[in-house]
This record gives sequence, structure tokens and C-alpha cells, in this order.
Amino acid sequence: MFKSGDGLSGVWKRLRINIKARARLRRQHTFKARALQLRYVALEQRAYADTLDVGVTIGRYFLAGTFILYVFGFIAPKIPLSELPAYWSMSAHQLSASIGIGTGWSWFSMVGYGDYLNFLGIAFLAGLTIVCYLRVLPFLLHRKDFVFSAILLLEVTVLSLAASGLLTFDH
Amino acid sequence: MRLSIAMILALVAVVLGDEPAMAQATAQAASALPWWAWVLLLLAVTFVLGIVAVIGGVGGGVLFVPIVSGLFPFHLDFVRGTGLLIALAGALAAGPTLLRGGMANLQLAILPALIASAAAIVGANIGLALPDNVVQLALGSIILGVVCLMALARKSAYPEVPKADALSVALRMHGVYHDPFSDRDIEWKVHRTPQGLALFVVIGMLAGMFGIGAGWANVPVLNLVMGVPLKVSVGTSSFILSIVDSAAAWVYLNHGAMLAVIAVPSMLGMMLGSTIGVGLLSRANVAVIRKVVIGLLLLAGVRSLLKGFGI
Repeated sequence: MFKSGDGLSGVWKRLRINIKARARLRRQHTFKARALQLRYVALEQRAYADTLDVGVTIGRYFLAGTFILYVFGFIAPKIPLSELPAYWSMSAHQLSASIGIGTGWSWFSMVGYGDYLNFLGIAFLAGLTIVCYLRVLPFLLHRKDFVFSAILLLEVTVLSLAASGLLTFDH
Repeated sequence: MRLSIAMILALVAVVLGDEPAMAQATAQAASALPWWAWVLLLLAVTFVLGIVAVIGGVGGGVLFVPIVSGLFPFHLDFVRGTGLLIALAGALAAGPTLLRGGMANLQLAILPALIASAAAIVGANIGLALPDNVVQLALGSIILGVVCLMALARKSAYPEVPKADALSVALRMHGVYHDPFSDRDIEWKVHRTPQGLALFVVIGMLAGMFGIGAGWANVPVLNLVMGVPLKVSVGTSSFILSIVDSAAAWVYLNHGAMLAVIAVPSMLGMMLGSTIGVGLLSRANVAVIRKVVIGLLLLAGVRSLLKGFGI
């Protein structure tokens, strides 16, 4: 790499060429490894991954944003922050009873408050799996893979029932 | 490395502390400290747990629930709800990479995930209905079981599967993945599928009941019982976790067993800690950290049992 008689600029030029060549080789190696990995990955699995990727990014930033709005007081909470220590040692049932909120989707009526606004981001992340499964369903139906389509639909049903609050029993 | 060992030892010292004195100290601290001090403490503790979880090879939930329920004045309902969220957030974040890399397999996961998620809903409802002391007793027992599993269970990188069983063939539970480290294609198939699926019922129930995620159980079942290669077991376990914990998280959410001021800083602390932990992984002595994690869990499990007995 270094030749006798080279000035500083010559050395620097060769160093840059060397660094770029190594970076290009690393990229080629990474792409080759990815291509080999993707060769065995089904289309529906890639579709699931792509949908999940977008959803997680949206959910993460949304949750961070609503938490900032809540904790810095931009949106007033249902339970004032200073009073939280009196509530967080109660059970979930006791806390809900003390602020007058029921089970199921009753929290949705409180999203105008800073603390319950965060539940939207949590619900979004919890519901992401349903969206990803529905994204995958057309691939299975197109392949006439009815067994997996049935299992997938069963899973969507189970998750939807859990989300609906119908499987939440009041204690 | 020395700093993380020091932090872990500090946590051990606190967990090891005298139970009644600790309870009294926690109650006094709860009234003395403002809400934001607890949130910052939670951020710090979950940051350390995130580092330790990655290096020690355990899930965030299995460390979070027993340790935070012992150290902080939060009710166990909110701690369990947050534990599920932490596990869910981690699994969702890792999902795309694992799926694209072939380390998680959709066909392998889809039926165990269905069974475990249905069981998790039942488990979550049961867990929220049980009295606190019963939950503490059961949690302590489960944590001690996890300790035994971690200390004794073998792992097999490429299990020997002489013949795929009929159920796995019918469900197409087989595949090929390219291992970039060995630069070769690995074909795998599965056996003992009914036994594996039966175990996923138990795993789902426990995950929902205690909010501790299910990775500690998914991997041994997939790897040792069903014969899935270790890397695919770990990747698919994380993927199954995202589905199972989604189901259980809805039950906790609809029960109001989540507080944003506990959940969001915990998720943030864990994510940051995990990022640092991944960076330290190549330099840390994994065997030592794993022993420290086992010790920590042992103490947390004993502490939960003592709490359950009212001691």
C-alpha cells in the first residue's frame, strides 16, 4: 500500500482506496449472506416481517410521544402524577374502582387524559400480531393452504376475543 | 464489566436483605420519595436488568417481575402487566430480523403459538383472580423451577432427529436455514410434536399468570423435546413470545392492570440496557454473568416464597 517516494497525499489516497475497497467487500459479503438466508424464507414470512417492522417503528415512536405528553403535563392525567404513589400499591381492581373505570374497553373513554392516552400505543403494539397475520392470509389462500389458513384464522379469532374484552372476567 | 458486576452485586445485596425490614423500608421510602424518583430508579434498575438479561441469556420478564415486585412499592398486578409488555416489546422488535434471517419459522410457530396464546388468556385471568400471597408462592416456585432449568438443562446446537413424526410432516414443521457463521445450509425436522404441543399449554398458562414471558420454557421444549436446532429454537421462541404475550397483554390491559408511568420507563430501560448488553456480549464472561443471574433469580424466588408465606 505504501510506496517509497509517496508524499502524505499519496499515502492518504491509498488509505482511502483501501478503506473503500474493504467496505465494498463487507457489503458484498453481507448481501450474499442475506441472499442465502432469504432463499429459504417463504414469501409470507417476509411479508409478516415487513409489516411487523413498520408497525413496531410506528408503535415505538407513538408510545414515546404520548409518554412525553403525559409525564411533562402537556395533557392532564386522570390520576395526578403527585398522587400516583397512593394508587400504584393498590390492586388493579381497587384502582379501577377508586377512579370509576370498569373492565374491558372502558379505558378508551379516558384517552383524553394523559395517562390513558398511553394505552393507545400499548393497544397498538398488542394488536400488531393480528394485522401481521391478516397480511399473511392471502398468501396462504392463494397457495390453497387451507390447513394453515384455518389455524391462522383461529389465532386471529383468539387474539380478537382477547382484545375485545369478552374474555376478561371481572373479579 | 466490573461496573456491571458491581451493579449486580448491589442488586443481590438488596434482594438478600432482611424481609420484614425491607418491607418496612420500602413502605417508608414509598411515602418519602416523590413519584419521579421511583420512575428514575425504575429506569436505572431496568437498564441494568436489560444488560444482565442479554448477557445472561434470559428474558427480560423473568428477571423483571420477581426483582421489581420485591424492590418497588408497585402492586404485583402492575408489575406482571409490565413484565408482559417488556417481553412483548422485545420480541416484536427482534421479530423482523429473525423472520427475514430464517431463524424464526412461521410454519413451526403457528400451531404452538395458537395453543400457548389461548392458554395464556386463561392463565392471565386466573392470575389476576388469585390472592396476592398465592401468586407470590406460585411465582417463587416457578422462579426456582426456572433456576433449576437454567442450571441443569443442556442445549443441543443440532439435535439428532432420526425421523419426523406424522403430525410434524402434516403441518410441514421442517425447513432449511442458512447459518452465516458456519456458512452452510442446515436442514431440520421435528419429532415428539404432540408432547411439545402439550407443553405449550403449560407454558402459555404460566406466561399469562405471572407475566414472565415464556422464552425460558419455549427454547428447551423446541430444542430438547422437539429437536429443532438451537438457533431456530431461540428465534422461533422469540416469535412465539410476541404472539403469546399479545394475548395475555390484552387481558391485563382490559383489566386496567397497567400503569403508563411504570410500563413505559421499564420498556425504555430494558431496550437501552439490551442494546448495551449486546455490545458487551463479546467482551463479557458469559458463564460468570449466567451464574450471577441464576443466583439473583434464586434469591428473588426465595424472597417471593417468603412473601407468599407472609414472612
